[in-house]
Amino acid sequence: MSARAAWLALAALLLSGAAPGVPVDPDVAARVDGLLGSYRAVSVAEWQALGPAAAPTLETVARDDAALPTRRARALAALGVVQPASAAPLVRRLVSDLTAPPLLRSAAVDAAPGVLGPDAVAFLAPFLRDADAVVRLRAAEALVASGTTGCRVVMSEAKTRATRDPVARTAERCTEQRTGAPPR
Amino acid sequence: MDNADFPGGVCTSRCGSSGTCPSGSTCLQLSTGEYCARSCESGDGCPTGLVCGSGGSAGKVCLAPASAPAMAVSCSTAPVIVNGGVLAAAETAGCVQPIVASTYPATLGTTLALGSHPVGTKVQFQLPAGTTGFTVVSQGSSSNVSKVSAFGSLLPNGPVPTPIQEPNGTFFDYPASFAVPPSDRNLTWSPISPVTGAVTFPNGTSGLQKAAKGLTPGTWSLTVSDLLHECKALQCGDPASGSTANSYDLTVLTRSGGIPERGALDLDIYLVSAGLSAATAPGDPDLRRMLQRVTADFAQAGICLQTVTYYDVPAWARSRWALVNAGPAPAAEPCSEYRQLFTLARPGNAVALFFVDQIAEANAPSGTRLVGYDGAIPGVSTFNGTIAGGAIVSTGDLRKKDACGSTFNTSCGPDVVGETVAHEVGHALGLFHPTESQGGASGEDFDPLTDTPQCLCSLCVSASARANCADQSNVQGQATEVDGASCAQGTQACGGADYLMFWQLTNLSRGNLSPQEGQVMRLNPLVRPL
Repeated sequence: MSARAAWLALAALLLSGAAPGVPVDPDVAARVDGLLGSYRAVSVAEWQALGPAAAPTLETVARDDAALPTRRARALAALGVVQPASAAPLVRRLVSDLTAPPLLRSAAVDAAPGVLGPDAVAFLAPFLRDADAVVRLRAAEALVASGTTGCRVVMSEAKTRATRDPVARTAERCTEQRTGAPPR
Repeated sequence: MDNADFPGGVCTSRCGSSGTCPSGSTCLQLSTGEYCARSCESGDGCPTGLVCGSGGSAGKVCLAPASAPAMAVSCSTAPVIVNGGVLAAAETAGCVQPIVASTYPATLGTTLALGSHPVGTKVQFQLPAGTTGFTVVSQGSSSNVSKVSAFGSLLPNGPVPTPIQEPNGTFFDYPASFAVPPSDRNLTWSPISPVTGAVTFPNGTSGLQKAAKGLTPGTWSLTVSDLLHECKALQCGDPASGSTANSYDLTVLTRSGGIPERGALDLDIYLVSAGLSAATAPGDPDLRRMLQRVTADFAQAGICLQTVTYYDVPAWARSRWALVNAGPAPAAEPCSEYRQLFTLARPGNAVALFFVDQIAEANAPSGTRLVGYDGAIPGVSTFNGTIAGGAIVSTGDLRKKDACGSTFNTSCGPDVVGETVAHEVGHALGLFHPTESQGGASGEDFDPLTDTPQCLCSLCVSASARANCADQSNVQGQATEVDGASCAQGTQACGGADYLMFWQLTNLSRGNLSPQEGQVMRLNPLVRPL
């Protein structure tokens, strides 16, 4: 294979969205397709049962700009379960992509703590000021849920907001967590 | 045999503990029992009326073909699409659990307001001559216990007004024997909404047969009850099992006139989504395509969509419910944002649908988004404004049209939103999933109708996945689920992927409904004879 042919083959693979070098098991692909179309939520255990073999199909869907946003969001969430390393760059790209569907961006925000680990705090902090209200709120909720460091970031941001602002209201949970007050 | 495994009837025999099979046949576990099935290699060799299909570990066997779906009726006019303006709703603080009056029209039957009673009270009601069906709506007090700890899970404490007794004292619905197939029972209960809920008769095959003949007129009775109360007999494990502390406001809606051949239905659609408005919705091409799909699906049920009214919601509501958390946990909580959204619905004889930007699920992998979520099965029809009514549908896919062509496509956003609307309204009108995801694990995994194709895990999935079907003995971890690819084999035992109420929406979905599904829908209090 010439260098040009090799490059074209690689480009074709990347453009098709398939993870290069990973064979797609048609049975697993069919099961992934079914679960992505489930009316109810698919549990962590269900995705874990499919294991890393599901990753190529999930990655293809999550990357596919032509796919439905709800399916892409589910694929991204599932990828965070079966192969978080593959999900990390996608999560970063989708959260930052202002042209991505709002649903997909906020889903990527939700997935960030589980996929990025401690790095999620620094990554998500700027999105507390995102233009999209749902992205702002989900970023605040993800940070608060991630622990003390995330709480500190949200509480600092809350000082710049009115008390009824969703970010400020989310920050109140940090106080409740600290004082042991019952959740409202 | 003429049952859910062999709709329309076939000559075969029971086996297992009831007997053995002749040479060349295998004893096969189907949904209603064990039957002898002749081995085959192809279509040849099967008796007339049967087809050669997957018998799981038995190899290829002769089975009933999948029941044919209903033929769509032709509706004389397209639905009228109306701008209902802005919903007048003051911003609420905290949790509300309204008890509302029915708007059931007298032309369909009678409304019997039976008052509020504590659990355990036996209440009488009159069924007039010519009654075809009835709906019992129980609206619980806000002080009711809303959850039950049952068999290790926390479930919604849904009302189950049982037993229901006929005028001669015969138990109409109770005690329910789990040995009897769901389709042979008079009623199938689904107490999935806390505090407030409904049950409509008929919702299964046996009930439809009784309904067609008419119910005995006279003094019937029911006993006010809920899951917490029934848990004493079921031995759920909740320390408060058998409690009579809760109380419910009861209403019975009677239905007369037989099972209509055709029905009419209205939808109220509340636009919580930021990018939609009631003023432009009637002319919005994506919403119009969405409604075309709903119209086509309902036509298979013999139902013509009549009026669709779009409402804007106030800005405070748009902001509050831009993203709704749904799923079993919020559904079990009367004060969840998901349940509180339903209380915005205005009174009327229409299915209340809430179009929201996003639906998340807190207990699923982070980032999960749902396409829709139903309030109850059936919905509390004609009682709009309770915490149990209606359904939410995500508009997240509405504008994604890369795959939209001239025909239905499950990658086309407006088509998917339309199919989701039809699916959730199907639940609201009383339909269950023909097969639940584990395909026969509990024996209760199938709907109570004989003419919807089923999908039995142990017969339909690949050999490697079969050992982990939930009804097998050595299941390790997550049980195998029956997905679209497994449930499109053309037999009654391995079918259903093409049906509207299948638990997944895949590229095999065709929005099909069975004749009996159509009958159940047409007897819902919201559907008028046409």
